[in-house]
Amino acid sequence: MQTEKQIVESVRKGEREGQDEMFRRFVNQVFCMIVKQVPDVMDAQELTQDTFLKAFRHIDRYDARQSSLSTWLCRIAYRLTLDFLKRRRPIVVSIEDSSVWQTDISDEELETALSTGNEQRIEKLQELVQQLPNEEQMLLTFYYFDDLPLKEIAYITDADPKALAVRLYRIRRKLYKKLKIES
Amino acid sequence: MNEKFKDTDLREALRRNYANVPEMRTPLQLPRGGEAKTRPMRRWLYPIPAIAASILIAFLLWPKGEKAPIAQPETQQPVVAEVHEPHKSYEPRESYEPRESYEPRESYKSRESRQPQQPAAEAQNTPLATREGQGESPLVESLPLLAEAQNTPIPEELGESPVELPVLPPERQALVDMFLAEEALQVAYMQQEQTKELRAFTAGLEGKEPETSHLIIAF
Repeated sequence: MQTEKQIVESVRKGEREGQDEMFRRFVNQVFCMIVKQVPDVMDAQELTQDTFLKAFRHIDRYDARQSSLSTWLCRIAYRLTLDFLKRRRPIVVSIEDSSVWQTDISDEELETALSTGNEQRIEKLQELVQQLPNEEQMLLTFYYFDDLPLKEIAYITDADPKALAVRLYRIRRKLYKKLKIES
Repeated sequence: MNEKFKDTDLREALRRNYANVPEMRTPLQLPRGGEAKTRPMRRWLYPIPAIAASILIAFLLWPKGEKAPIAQPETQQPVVAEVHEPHKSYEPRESYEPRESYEPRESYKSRESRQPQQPAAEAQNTPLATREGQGESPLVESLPLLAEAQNTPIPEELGESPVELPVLPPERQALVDMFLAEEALQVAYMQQEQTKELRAFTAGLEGKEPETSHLIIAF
C-alpha cells in the first residue's frame, strides 16, 4: 500500500505504476463529484479521465503542504467541470439576484427558515437548487453534501474563505427569498 | 465561520437530488497515452524527426536527371518508350558485361602455358603430385582439360547475350534512391554515435576529459 507521498513521487518520475495507483484510488471520488453536476455519464467519465491526465501533466505543481492529493484532484475536476458546463449551458443570472441580497437577514434567521423539515419546502428547495448557476450548485454540494470545511472548498474553488462565506450566505438568502415568494 | 449551518431542509434537498446520481457504466481505465503525454520525449527519439526531415529535403533536392516527358494526351502520344529507360547512373547492362580487369580466361591461359613447361620432377615435388612419384595426380591431369574447356568459345545463347535487368520506372527508381539515402543516413548516424562512444571510452581509459566530438552529421 503506497502512501500519497510515494504515489506523487512515482507519478513525478512518470512511472505507469504510480499513475495507475493514483487513478485507482481516487477515480470514484472524482467521478462522483463530477457526475453530480454533469448528469451524462459518458461526459462525466470523460471529464474524470481528463482530470487525471491534467493531474499527471501538472503533478509538479502539487504541494502537499497546501492540500491532500484528493482535494487537489477535486480542484482540477472543479475547474474542468465548470469549463465544461459553461460551454454547454451559459450561466443566466436572474434579475431577482440583485434585489434579493439587498434584504438583510441574519444567519440565524436563515438557518431557522431552512431547517423546518417541511416536505413541501424540501421538494421546492430541490427544484430551486437545480435552477441555481453551476458554481453555486457546486458550492452547496461541497458544503452540505460532501460536508467539506470552508477552507478546503476555498482551495478547490480558488477563492478566499471569507469571500466564500459571504457567497454562501447570499445563496442561502436567495433560496430563502424565493421560497418566501413561492409560498 | 468554522461552525457549519445546519440548514436541514437544504441538506435533505441536496441528498435527494443526488440520490439517483448515475454510476459509472464500465470501470474507468486510465487512458492510454497518458504516460506519453506526461513524459518528456526520450532523447534517443530526437534524431528521428531530424532524419525524416533530412530525407525529405534530400528527396526534394535530389538531381532529377532527365525528366520524363510530360504526359501527353493518349490520342497524340500513346506510350513514350523513353519513360521506361533505365536510370543513367545505374547503367545495368554495362555492369553485367564481363570486365577486362577480371580476365578469367587470361589467367587460366597463362597457367596453362606455364604448366607443360614445368619439369616432371618439379611437378612431383608439388603437393599435387602422388606420394609414389609415379604419374600425375588426377588434379594435375585435369588441368589441361580445364584449360581446353576454357578456350572453347561459349555458345552465343549462353555467354554473349547480355543479361536483361528489369528496368524500373522513374517513380520507383526515385523510391529506391530515397530508401538508399535513408539507409546511408542511418548508417552514418550510427557510426557517429559509435565514434562518440569510442572517444569517450578512450578518454576514460586515459583519464582525460572526453573531447567534444565534431559532428559528422549536423541535423
